[in-house]
Formats: sequence, C-alpha cells, structure tokens
Amino acid sequence: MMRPWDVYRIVFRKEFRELLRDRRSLFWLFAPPIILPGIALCAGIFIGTQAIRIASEGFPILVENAEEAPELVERFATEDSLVLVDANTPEDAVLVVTIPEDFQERLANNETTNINLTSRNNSLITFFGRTVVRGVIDEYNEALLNQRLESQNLTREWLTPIQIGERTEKSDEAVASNGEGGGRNIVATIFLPLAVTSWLLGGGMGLVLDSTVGEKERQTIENLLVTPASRIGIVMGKMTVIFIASMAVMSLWLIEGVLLNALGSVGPEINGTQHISTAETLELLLESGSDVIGLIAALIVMVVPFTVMLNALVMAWCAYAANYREANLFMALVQLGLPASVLLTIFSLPPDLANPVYGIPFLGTIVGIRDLFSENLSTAGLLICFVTGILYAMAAIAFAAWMFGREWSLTRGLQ
Amino acid sequence: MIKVEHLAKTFKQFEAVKDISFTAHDGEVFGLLGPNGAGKTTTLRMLSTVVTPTAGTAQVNGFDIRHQKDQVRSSLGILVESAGLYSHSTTREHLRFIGNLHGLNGNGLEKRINDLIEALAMTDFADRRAEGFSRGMVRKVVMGMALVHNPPNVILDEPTQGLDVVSTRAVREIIHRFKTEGRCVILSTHHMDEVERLCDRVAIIHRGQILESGTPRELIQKYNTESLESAFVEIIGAEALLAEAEREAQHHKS
Repeated sequence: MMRPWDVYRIVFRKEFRELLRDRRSLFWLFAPPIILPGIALCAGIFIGTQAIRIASEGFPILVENAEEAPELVERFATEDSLVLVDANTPEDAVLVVTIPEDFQERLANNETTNINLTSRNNSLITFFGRTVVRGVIDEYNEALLNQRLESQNLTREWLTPIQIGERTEKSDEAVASNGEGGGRNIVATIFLPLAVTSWLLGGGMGLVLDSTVGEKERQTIENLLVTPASRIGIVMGKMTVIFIASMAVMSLWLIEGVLLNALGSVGPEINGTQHISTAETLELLLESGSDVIGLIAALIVMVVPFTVMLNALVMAWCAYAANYREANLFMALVQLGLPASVLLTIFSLPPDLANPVYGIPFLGTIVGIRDLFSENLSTAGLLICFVTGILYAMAAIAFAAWMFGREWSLTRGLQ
Repeated sequence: MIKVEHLAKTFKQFEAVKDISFTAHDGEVFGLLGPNGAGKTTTLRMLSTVVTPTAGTAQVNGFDIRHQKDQVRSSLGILVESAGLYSHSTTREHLRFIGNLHGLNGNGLEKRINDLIEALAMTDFADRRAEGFSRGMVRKVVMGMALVHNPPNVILDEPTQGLDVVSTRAVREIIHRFKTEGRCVILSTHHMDEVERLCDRVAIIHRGQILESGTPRELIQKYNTESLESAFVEIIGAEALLAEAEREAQHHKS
C-alpha cells in the first residue's frame, strides 16, 4: 500500500512541473511584484532624468516688470536651474512671474505685496520650474523677513511662541527594534501586512483554483480518486506547490517593502547631503538595514504558518466548489474582504494590546505584523503568534484534507 | 470477478440506483445497457469507490467496496466517460503519474507505458502535451491510465465514444484481448452492435433497476426481435425512451 509520503512526492512533482509549464499562471503570480515596482522605477527614473536635464539647462521663465524688483531678478539670474527669457520671446517661457508696479513701495512701507505666477500648462516640467521659482521667492522672502525682524530688534523665535517636539514610545521588549525609538516607516507598516495577503490578489488564488476545482472542471479528479493514493498525500503535495509559489511572491513583496523601509529611513540623510557617491549611498542603506535580519526572521515566523492556513482554507473551499463559478464567488469575497479587514485591523485596533490578542486566528498575525513594524511586539507576543499560527495551520490542513476526502464535496460537479 | 448485491444510491430525495444485483465473471465481458440517466454511471462510480452506496454492497476480486477501498482501487481499472487530462503534461507523463500513484515505478512501469502507447496507437503523441488533444486522443490516454497498473478487473464507460474507426477497432480488439487474458470486463455503452459483438452477457438498466439480463442472443429470442436494439426498445418501452430523450433535450437546453 502506498504511504502518504510517497503520494505526497508524486503529486508534488507533478503539480510543480505543471506550474513551471503554465506560463499564464506564472505571469499572474510574478507579474505584480516584478512589473509594478519596475514600472514605478522606470517612471521615476524617466521623470527624474527629464527634470535633471531641464534643470541643468535651466527652466525658462519670463519676469514682467523686472525693473520693480532688481534684487529678486538678480536671485533668479544666479539660480542655476532657471533661465531668464527675453521679453520679446515670451512663448519660450514655461512660467511668467509678474511683479506688481508698487512692489518696492509696499515693501518699503512694511506691507505685503503679491507676485503672480502664471504657468503655461500643467506639465511636469512646468511643475518643477514653478517649484524652483517658488524656492527662490521663498528664500528672498526669508531674507526680507529677517531684515524686518532685525530692524525691530526681534528674532525668529519671536514668531513661534510654541514649538512641538514629537517622538513615539516603543515597548522595551520590542522584537527587532532599531534601538532608536520612533518606530519604522509608516508606509512599511501598512505595506507589509498587505504584502502578506497579496498572493490572494495575484495569481496565487488562481493556482489554488486550478489545482482543486480545476480538477473537477477538467474532469481529471476521478482519475485521481480511483487510485489507492492517500487523500492527505494528495492535499499536501498540491499545497506544498501553492505554498512555495505564494512564498516566492510574498518574498518579492517583502524585499521591496524592506527596501522601501530602508530607503525611508536613510532618505533624509541622503537628501541632506550635497554630494553623495553611489558607494556612500549603499553604505547608508546597509547601515539602515542592519536591524533588518531580526525583522525578517520575526516576519517569517509569523508569515509562514499564516500563509499555510490561508492556502489550506481556500483549498478546502475549492475542494467543495462544484466549478470555477462557485469558487470564484468565494474568491471575490476574499479578494475584497481580506485587504479591507487588514486595513481595518491595522487602523482600528489600539496599540499596546494584551499578548493573547496575538493568538486570535487571522487577526492576531495581522496585528502582530503591524506591531512588529511599530516596534511594539514583544517576544512573548511573537511566540504566541507563532505557536497559535502553527496550530491553526495544522487545523486548516486537516480541514482541507477532510474536505478532499468527503464524497459529498468531491462528487459535486462530477458529470 | 465483480459481484454486485442489492446496490442502491440516493442523492437527497433522488433514487439514482434502486436495487441492482449482478455478477461479472473473470474472462467475461458484461454489458450494462440503459438510456441516459438510468443509473449506469452511478453504479460504476460505486464500484470504483468514488461514490459510497446508500444500501447494498459489491465485491471486486473479493474485496468489499465499502470497507476495502484501497484494495478495490488496486484491482480495478476504470475508464470514466467524461474524464479529462492535465493540459501541461504529456501522454507518457499522464501514464507515469497514475502508475506511480498505484505504487509502480522503474523499468517495469516504463515498459508497461511503452506497451500501452503501442497498443493504443499513441506513439505519435506520446511525448506531446495534452493541450489541444482531440477527443479521441484524450480517450486513448484515459484508457491507458485505466490500464497502466494491469488490473484484473476493468470497467469501461463508453470506451469508443469520440474515437475514429481505426481507434474504435483497436479498442474493441483490446477488450477482446482482456477477455482472452481472463480479465473481468464491465462495459457500459450505447452502441448495440458493440454489445452484440463483445458482450457475453448484458443487463438492461432503467430508472435504477435491472429490467432484464442474459446473453444478447437470449434477449433477442425472448422478445422475438431481429436485433438487440429492438429487444432493448421493447424492454425499456418506446414511450419511456422518448420521454427520456425529451428530458435530456430539456436538460441540455436549460
């Protein structure tokens, strides 16, 4: 008699081979994490290089009534990113700066005056040009303000009687803390729990569908059922392939999320540096990622049982569904409900939750990932999350195998 | 040998099979005849352990279909009428997969696969992926899958449906060979000439019950008709057949 382990190996080998040959499934699995960030990167590089090229040539602007503000015009002229256009060729300018005729007079009277910026269009180049012009005007504005304050023997502090200082308190026992307080990037805090469920939105669900209800649609299930192969072996073999594929997809999302997190934390440092080489940038990124190993380890501990549980539950439903239509109905609910419930969980539950909360099915892991990134997850919380996650995953596998062995579920949809 | 004793199956309120008993011996081709919806496929699914009977039981090679399912599955090969294939696997891979699930491997299995590919005239598409296979090609591969473990008992549900003349002849020859090899064959088909030519005995099923059984010649003589087809119509009743056909047409329309 065939041992479940032998059946598992045979089914796994066959399912894996089918997956590697199925270009459509592979595309829908890996396209979102590879193509979407790639497109965003290409768009960013394109826009950035365009902006840098035009900035190095200078954004063409026209100043009307230039004689009213010689000092400001001088600032425009010395700004590398701007080029002053002759009044005879106004069509060359992307932006027209109009100085009022009483400009000098109002400034001399310590009054406020208006400078009008008229954009030629709403293009990105005009937007960048306007940003540079505003920057120059703001600098001039600051200089004038300082002069006015000095003339009254006042300092800039006089303008802001109250200042606000911010910091976020974190748990002393926090797992994978960066030791600086303040928590991590808020974008990553939201992005990563969503990444955990992202396989459901991509081709992962298609894979589950194909390997379960697809057997009914193709009428291949009966060939399988008339063999003495153990049902648990069949389920485990199919699930392992789905698990590998979903982990590969999620890993891609997670790597992108971690990179985003690292970039978010070193961004201000890079921005604040006038000249930075590629080597220096890499060094900064690596330094910021020094605490990432612990973070990833904690994530794996939570994500692996969670993924197995989700895969098994979806598989159980698909084993019951008579056809793709029935399976898709449930999938549509999951596709809508899962991200919504993840976001709701992240934002609605308060911080500093009691450890048993991490043991609640589904919700516990989502909260755990949120708290991991906000540096509020304790080691005990992580342990609870892991142990209960394993238990739920095992229960879900048993449920899927049970569904796969039930006559009333498998014979639904047989012709 | 397959021995069926008072087999019955009810789906919710619908009695698909009411009370069926027959014995198919080794070295015999036993035909199951009946109009659509008579209960043939449900009976065959109970014998192959895919569906559990509501009442009664059956023995395949002495193994009980209720309590010794794995032994029954090992000693039975079944060709399912509507069975399909995995589009990204080749013919050879299909046969190997099912062979592996029956616990076969190594040179023995490869030789068996090669023999089946030759016997079922599948050489041209032995290493082609199943995507785009014709209905006839699919039937041949599924038949190969049913036979790969060399079972002593074979159930064939519409084995020649969708096959061309050459393949039909090849399948009929294989069925005949099964008989000479001493296998027990249960054949379910709509082709009366096939039944007359291949079956040693037949049972005519209608609305989940066996109405008549015997050799084709005995039935023809008993109902004083020229052919088995006429005897079949006589037994089932022309009106009943017409009603079944209408019901079938309505079902397809809906």
